[in-house]
Amino acid sequence: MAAIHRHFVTLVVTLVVAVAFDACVLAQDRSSAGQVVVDMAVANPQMLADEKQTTFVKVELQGLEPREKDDRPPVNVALVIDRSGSMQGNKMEQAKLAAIAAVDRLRADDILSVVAYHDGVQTVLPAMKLSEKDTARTSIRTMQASGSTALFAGVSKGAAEVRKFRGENRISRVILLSDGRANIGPDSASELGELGASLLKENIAVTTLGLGLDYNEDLMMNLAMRSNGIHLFIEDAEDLVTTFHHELDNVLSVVAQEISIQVQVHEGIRPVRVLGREADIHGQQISMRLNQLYASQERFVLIELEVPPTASGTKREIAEGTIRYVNMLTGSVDTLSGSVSVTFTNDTARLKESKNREVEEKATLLVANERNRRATFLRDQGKIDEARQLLESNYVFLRQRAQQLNSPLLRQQTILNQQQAENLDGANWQKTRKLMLRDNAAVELQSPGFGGYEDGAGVRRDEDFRGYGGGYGDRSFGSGEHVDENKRIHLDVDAYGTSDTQIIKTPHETKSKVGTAAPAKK
Amino acid sequence: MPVLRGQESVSRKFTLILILLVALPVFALVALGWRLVQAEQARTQQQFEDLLQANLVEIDRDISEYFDRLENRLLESVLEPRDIESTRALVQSDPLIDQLIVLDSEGRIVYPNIDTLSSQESRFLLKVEPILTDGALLPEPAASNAVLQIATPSPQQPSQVSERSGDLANLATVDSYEYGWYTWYWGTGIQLIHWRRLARGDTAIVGILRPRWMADVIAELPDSDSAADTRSAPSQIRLVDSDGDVVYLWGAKPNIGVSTSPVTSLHLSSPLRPWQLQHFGPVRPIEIGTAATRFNLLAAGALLSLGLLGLATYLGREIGRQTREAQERVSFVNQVSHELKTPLTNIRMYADLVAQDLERIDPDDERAMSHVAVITSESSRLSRLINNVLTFAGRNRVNSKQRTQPGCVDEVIQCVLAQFRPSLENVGIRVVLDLDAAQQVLLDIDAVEQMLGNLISNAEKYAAQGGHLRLRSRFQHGMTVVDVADAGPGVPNHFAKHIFKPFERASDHIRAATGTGIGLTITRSLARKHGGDLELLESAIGATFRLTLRTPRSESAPT
Repeated sequence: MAAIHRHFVTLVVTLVVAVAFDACVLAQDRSSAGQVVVDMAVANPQMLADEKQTTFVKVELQGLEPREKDDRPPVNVALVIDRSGSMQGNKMEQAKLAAIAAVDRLRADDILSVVAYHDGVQTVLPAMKLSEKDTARTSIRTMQASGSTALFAGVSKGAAEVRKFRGENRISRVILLSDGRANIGPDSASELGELGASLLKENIAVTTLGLGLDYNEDLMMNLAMRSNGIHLFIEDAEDLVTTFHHELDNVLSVVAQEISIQVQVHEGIRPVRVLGREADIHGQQISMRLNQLYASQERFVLIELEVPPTASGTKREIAEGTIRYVNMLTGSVDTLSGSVSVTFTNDTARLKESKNREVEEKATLLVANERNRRATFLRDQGKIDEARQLLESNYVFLRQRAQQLNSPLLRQQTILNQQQAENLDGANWQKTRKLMLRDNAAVELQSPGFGGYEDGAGVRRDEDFRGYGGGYGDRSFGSGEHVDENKRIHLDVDAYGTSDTQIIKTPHETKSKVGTAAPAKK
Repeated sequence: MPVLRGQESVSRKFTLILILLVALPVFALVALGWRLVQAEQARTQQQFEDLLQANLVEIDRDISEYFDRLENRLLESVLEPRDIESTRALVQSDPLIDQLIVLDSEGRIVYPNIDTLSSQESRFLLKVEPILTDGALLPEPAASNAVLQIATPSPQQPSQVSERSGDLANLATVDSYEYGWYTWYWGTGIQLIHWRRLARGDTAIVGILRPRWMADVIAELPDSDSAADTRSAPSQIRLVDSDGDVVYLWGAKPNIGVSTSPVTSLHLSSPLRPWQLQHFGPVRPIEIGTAATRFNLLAAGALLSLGLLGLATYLGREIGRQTREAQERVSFVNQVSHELKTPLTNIRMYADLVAQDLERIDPDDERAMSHVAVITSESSRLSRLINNVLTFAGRNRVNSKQRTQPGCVDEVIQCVLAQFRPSLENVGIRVVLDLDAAQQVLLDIDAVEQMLGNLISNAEKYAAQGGHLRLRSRFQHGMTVVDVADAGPGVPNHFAKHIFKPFERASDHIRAATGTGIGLTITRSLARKHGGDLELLESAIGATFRLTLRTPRSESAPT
């Protein structure tokens, strides 16, 4: 691991040097400071002259491993556990075990709180340092399932517990577990989403764990997405503890927090939209907020820009990015910056050659993803045929792009779309829907690894790849191992298949398969 | 007024009185106690509801304190929103601020820039569009005041503002400005903005993120179990929005059977006025205190009833015993009187025989004759007294059926007078007669004799100094009226009412004439029995008694 880590640092250094030499040619800028590296790139570094056209600019952030393995910032976690009647039995027992697992995992200077909700809310363990773990365990064991589901109130109280220790240099996280639909208090996906957006401003990410097939995935997804947390779908309660460990792995590996990305688009160029992410566009200024970045995690933003007709031979800078974040290892606020330029030409051969396949691939993925979401929306309205048509056309689009770009990732998406189109109806729909939304979120939230890519610096970053998948969002999956691409692709396809397929596997049994869902590296 | 006949009814009356004597206080006590318990219950209920209400008021205070804190924070941070960069940074970093709009004094949007609106800003503008167009928040001095008062419906708003401007004295710019909450309905429910008047007549409108303030309010409220600990009966408090949907609830689930409507509820203070706090739980407090009161009352009532019952029983027995003794005495007197009748009749008969014998032997022996006459007169007087006693005791004819027979009232008067003549002459009373009732009528001669005897005897006893006695009789329409007027001292006015009652005598003075005190009583009773009456007429001198008798003519009455 350490070897890989050092290897990676070397890579980055090489990369920076390479960028310094090669920035003009590649219209690409990389810089690093502290725990995060930024990579800005444009899909078409060479653009056709004298024509109005659009292109995508990518801003990608990558978290770096801390120098010392055990050097991590203290965390502040609130577990918000559903103890409504539907949790009775094994689910409740597993939830307790998961909470106790959290107690075991955390250090004495970490802060943990446990909030249980049913008709009302009960603070099982108020936020405090985990100096007396036995007391915490005892409190957790007293939980009993009964009553309704006041999910909103549970999150409200959980967030309030986290807020008690705000201001300290800690990683804040609310982990919400639910197996049912909120039926007391606000219960719409949009309201929970707005609450998530508000918590994002306080750097409190909400991880939502959906247990079984009966929970409201829109609500859970929205809450997670807009707070920059992740949503996990756990079909079988037996996998709860494992998933909890994965999530804790994430929480414990945060290296940067309160990340703000400001992109200034140069005059004359019009920002069209930001793909798959919430962003403020004020004239030429685009601002976004990311909550947290894990070590070895990649997250990116794609901005679509409209470039006016420009004379051949001109080279101009089109956008500049400034990234600020709190370095969780040092507590300092670090700043990164980058910029992208394009050259205008009439040489179509060079145009084609210069295309940044990675950015194009990601853009394709996100565009297809939006259509995929739209398909879910249509299906929800009962327009099954329209949804199927959309997925099929998406399938055609993806297949074409996958061929053009020779992208295994897009090919995998092609298959997924096909699978989804087949499962729009019938008994599997409930599960398919959850998987679709999870995968949508995975594409939007976590930086897809796009493994096997030769990046601009000519370095193959194969070992960095952990696939994508906010669905599992775990870096410990197959950590440090080279995962075969084709096998990675299989997992999610399997998930859509027969209903007895396990969605979550333990790291040990599924090392060879789960890569697609685990964007991580060491 | 017959005593012996009324014996049973009197004792029954006494029993009834005694029962009432016991029942009335007991009933009063029960009624009083019941009302006391009711009042106590109402008071406890009131206290109980007051307590619940006070609890809700306290919770409401917590919520409004949260909004006060939020307002203070906003007042500190939203100072000069014309600076676009810092304002945008504020909106982007403040977790509670949804969006911020600045209007100038004419209602034009100064911030954000209309030309470069972000999607969130457009959404927010769409949301607040209705309140921007109705101008409710415009600083138009006169007009806006009125509208704003409607907009922020809290009556204590002005006082709050003045209080708070004191707190914020260090912010020199704040004092002169106005600010407040504004709520309206849009989308999922009540929406909240905080407005504030700035320099140059600008108005800053800060939209507060609805789910976020809801989450914060919920975080201010107690945990689920906390309410249950303080109360012995399970109860629940709910925060309910304007649609009646539960936003948050805490406390134990009330038992089944508890009313489904809240025991008490309270509207929140501004700005969340349409929202309610509702208390669900048992409608009544646990009734330990009332039960004790009830037991005490019951015990006191039972004791008092027992005491009264004992007393009543004692009294009943005592009265019974005394009544019995009196009865025995009366019956003894009656017996004796009755026994006297036979020898007296013999005495009268033999006195008559002696008088006849004397007349035959020596008609000139005036002396012996007068002695016999005294015996006759005294014995008839004694006979009258005994008759009176027996009549009064109810053993004589008064109660038996009237024995009417044909006769003449004037003749009866003459006959009675003949008996009294010696004694009247003796006391110096001259009799003046004015008789006009010689018709043959039906009458009870014995009774009339007794009545007249009593009246004349009265005159003889009390009006001797008057010197004369006037007897007057008239017959008219089947009624005979006999007036007996003496010229004695008469009856004092205040006593006139009482002379017909038994044992009442005009004077109890030792010098006063002797008598039993039942003569007039019996006479009136007999007169009434005879279909008439006995009255005391008002007269200038002496006393005039008028005796009225129903005396149908004997010819018309078949015999």
